[in-house]
Amino acid sequence: MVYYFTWEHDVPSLPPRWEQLLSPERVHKAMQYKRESDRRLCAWSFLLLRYALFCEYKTLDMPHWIYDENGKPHDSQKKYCFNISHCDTAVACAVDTREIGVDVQDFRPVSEAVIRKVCSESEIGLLQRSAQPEKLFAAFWSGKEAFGKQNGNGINYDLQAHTFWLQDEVPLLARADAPAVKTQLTDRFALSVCAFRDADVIAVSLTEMQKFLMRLLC
Amino acid sequence: MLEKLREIICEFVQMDPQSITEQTNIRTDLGLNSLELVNLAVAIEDAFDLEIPDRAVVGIETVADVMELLETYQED
Repeated sequence: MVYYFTWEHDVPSLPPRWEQLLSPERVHKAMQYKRESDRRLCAWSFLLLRYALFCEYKTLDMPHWIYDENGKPHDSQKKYCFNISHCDTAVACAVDTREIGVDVQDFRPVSEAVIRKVCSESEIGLLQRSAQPEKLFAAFWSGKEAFGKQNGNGINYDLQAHTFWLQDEVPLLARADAPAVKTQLTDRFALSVCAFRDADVIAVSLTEMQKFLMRLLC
Repeated sequence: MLEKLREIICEFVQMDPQSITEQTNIRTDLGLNSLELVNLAVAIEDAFDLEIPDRAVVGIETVADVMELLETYQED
């Protein structure tokens, strides 16, 4: 299952006493960010995980993470698998019983050189023929990130070697006996999920999040 | 080298170039995500006329790491 929430302009303010809603490690990480927007994104992504865990497993327990050798976080008790992502216009969180990867990427112009570093020849061809290349590139990028995040490598793999094709105008990467990457486009960002089974994607409103957080604080 | 790197970095983030030091963290101080890091790597490759392998880009945490990479690949 994948949950996300999005906003139109600035990253929403954090609720009062937000530090109490995060693990001490996450508060520490959030406070390391110099820019307020980055700090908020770091906190919101953790809060969305708490929301997702409540929806999926009815738990309000504080998540605690351990990190593997590639720096990928895991539940310290290994009760569930999760992955989080944020961009300037959204945060997303995926939870599952098996390893899962999620990535969100907003639409922005990229140079030809960056495209050549990231995309395969066939993807470059699709971008050249696309009426909305910025959207399509964001979709390719989020798909490649979700793929790397699922297997724990991040973008530390040959990005061009995993070629996406288009199905209903959005990138898809599906192979036998391997997790598939599916992407969807919103009006602001691309969201990709790499999972062993189809994951539902659910939009959460800020109001809904705020209600949940008030409950956590009570 | 640091001066040139400051110029390049400031094309991506709005900040006082002089506040960028070797200890500046790419993610927490500059707020760059993975795609922005790839953008930065490409700009550095252009400016210094060299090629940085993708896998080396992933390990970048600080400006000092970028300088180390530059020294390595300029020698090559």
